[in-house]
Amino acid sequence: MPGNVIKLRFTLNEKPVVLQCHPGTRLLDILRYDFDLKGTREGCSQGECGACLVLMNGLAVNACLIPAFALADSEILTIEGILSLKSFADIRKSFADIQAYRCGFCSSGMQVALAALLLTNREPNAEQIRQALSGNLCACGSYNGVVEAVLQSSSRKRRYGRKRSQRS
Amino acid sequence: MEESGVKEVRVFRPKSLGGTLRLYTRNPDSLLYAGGTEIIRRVQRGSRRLFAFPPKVIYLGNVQELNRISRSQRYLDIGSALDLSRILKLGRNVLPPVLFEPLSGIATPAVRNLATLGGNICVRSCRGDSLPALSVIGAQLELRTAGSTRWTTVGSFLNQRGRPELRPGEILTRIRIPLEEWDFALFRKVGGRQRRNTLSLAGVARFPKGRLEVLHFCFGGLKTPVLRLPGLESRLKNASVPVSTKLIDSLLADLDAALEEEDDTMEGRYRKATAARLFRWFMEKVNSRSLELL
Repeated sequence: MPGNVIKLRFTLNEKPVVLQCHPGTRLLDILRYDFDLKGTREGCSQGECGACLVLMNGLAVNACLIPAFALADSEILTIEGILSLKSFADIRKSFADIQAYRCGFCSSGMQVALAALLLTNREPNAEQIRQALSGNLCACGSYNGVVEAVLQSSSRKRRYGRKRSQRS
Repeated sequence: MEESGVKEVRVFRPKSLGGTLRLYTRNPDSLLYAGGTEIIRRVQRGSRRLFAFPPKVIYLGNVQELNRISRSQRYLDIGSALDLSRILKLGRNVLPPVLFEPLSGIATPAVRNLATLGGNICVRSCRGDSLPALSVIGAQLELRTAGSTRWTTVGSFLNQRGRPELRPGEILTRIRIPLEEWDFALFRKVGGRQRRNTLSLAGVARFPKGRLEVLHFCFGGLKTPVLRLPGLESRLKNASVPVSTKLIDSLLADLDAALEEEDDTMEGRYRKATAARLFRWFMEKVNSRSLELL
């Protein structure tokens, strides 16, 4: 391990973890190389493309901009953690139905951005979805498909909710 | 991981403001780190695996006093290490619209979750963002050392080169925003991603009974990084609205003279011409708003 090391305790995908690393290590590298969570991708490394988004204490942040010392006692949720959430399964289905993504490189970052939105707003409109995705660059131009998938998932939830209330 | 050239980094993580100030007095060579969105770009190494921080870093993310908002009837006090997203959550009805606009346009939502208002004020490359807006609404900045507190304005905080005028051991701790009502508020930023060519104009005005009671405007991103022109503002005081074209043309001539220090390069001429266009557009907006209120 180069230079000095610090001991960090934080929560990663809802499990407490302890890690020893250099204080200047990027969160992105901690996730990819120390925890083998390769869903968090490296794009521009400057906080502009959004490929490395993770949820930190419920907020989407760029993992390439976070040094290890800022991690202590925080709660990190990566794309792997988000995909295991039941509440996100419906959106995943919509992504597959619509074939929202092309090459898929930006998909993990986009889904983290959407998770951050859906945590605070269960039924966002197209404008809010576009705003949430404004920090995610997609060279293939999959934005419209992603917006459509989220809207479809929301309307499916609404229909399902109405049917349940009619039955009861 | 790259082994060569990796230096020891000592990170302090104080929890109280008093502790932070004492620590900074004892370690004046430390790097103050809050959101880090600007610092990170400077400390990135070629290998990108490790950030090349200086030997001592004081992390401000755990200092409660720097991470909170308090609101009274007249003021909004914002801790300097509070992230922009939490400030924006106050909404347009609480945060003055002239400040809401530039803050909501900074970077991406994820970067706004990290970037702080204190950082935006202190970092030289962000002169076109919040500073002009803070200047026109008369925001005050609280600067503290372990043994003293002083308040200053945005204009006095920065020197001619746009660097913060901080005394040894001094930290920007709080931004006090007056909650005044304005009849008109406007912020406009133009320019591309190259920050040296970004230019902004923030302005507020009050015009009861068909006369301009007060009008403040401020440019950001010119050679003088935050440019207020009190001479021009006073010429508009008590002017009847809508402001006549003759007066606007005369003000534009004065503005042209005031921008003389801009370089005679292509960039300088661009900034000068854009500042004039922004000012004309701003006055047109003042006029149309005044007609709405009549």
